[in-house]
Amino acid sequence: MARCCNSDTIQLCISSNPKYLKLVRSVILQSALIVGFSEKDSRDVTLAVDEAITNIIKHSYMSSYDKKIKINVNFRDEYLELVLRDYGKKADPKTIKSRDLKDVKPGGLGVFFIKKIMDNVCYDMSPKHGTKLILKKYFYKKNCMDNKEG
Amino acid sequence: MQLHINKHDDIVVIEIEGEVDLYHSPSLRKELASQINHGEKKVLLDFEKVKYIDSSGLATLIEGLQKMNKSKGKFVLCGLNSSIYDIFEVARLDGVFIVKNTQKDGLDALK
Repeated sequence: MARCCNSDTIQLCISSNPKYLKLVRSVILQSALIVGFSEKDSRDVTLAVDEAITNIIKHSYMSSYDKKIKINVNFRDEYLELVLRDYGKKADPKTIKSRDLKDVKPGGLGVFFIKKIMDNVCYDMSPKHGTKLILKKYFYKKNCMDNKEG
Repeated sequence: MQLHINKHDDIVVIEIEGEVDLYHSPSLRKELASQINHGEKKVLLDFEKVKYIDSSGLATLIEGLQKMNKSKGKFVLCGLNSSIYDIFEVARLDGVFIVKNTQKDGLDALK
């Protein structure tokens, strides 16, 4: 399922079945560790990707488990980039919000974790079908907060 | 994920083993609902063998807590390792749940 395309990219293609989350987490955790993130940062990045895939399964594919999700792990010079591609219902970035933490209720924490953990979160709506979500985590915290998107 | 359920007097102890994510949280949700619907008023969830939790797992716990509050029961968590506790803290849930270090502490809190 996992294949190395070249020295700086790993591609995964999974079906939208939650049973594969564990496999993805394992790849993301090891990727983050390999490029030198701390144990904590690596666990955080893993959580962010897990949450993003969970949202794709629940919202883009409406819990249909036989759809396609592509995950690219790109090892860049200054950051680790995770690109998640789905072909389901288009996400509307304006409606993707984390909930107020004071309002304790089930749900709404996934987006909060993604935005809290990653330095850059970009929803690319340009594909004809589905959404491309691009997540970046910088190795050093230089100016990355300036790039943080809503 | 596996759930090991024991009863200590009037306290139901659910020991969770494994990872609580989108794939596994429905079975925890079902078990919690079942215990509460059967009239159990004291539930202790032991996380000592939990390696990972995501927002699906947290949502399951919040749902369980709210159901338990409605039935005037008590819901306690114990045994959270530091990485799991970090997630609770970041989501500001450490003050929402009663969290104890060990199962013994959790049982004492429910007596």
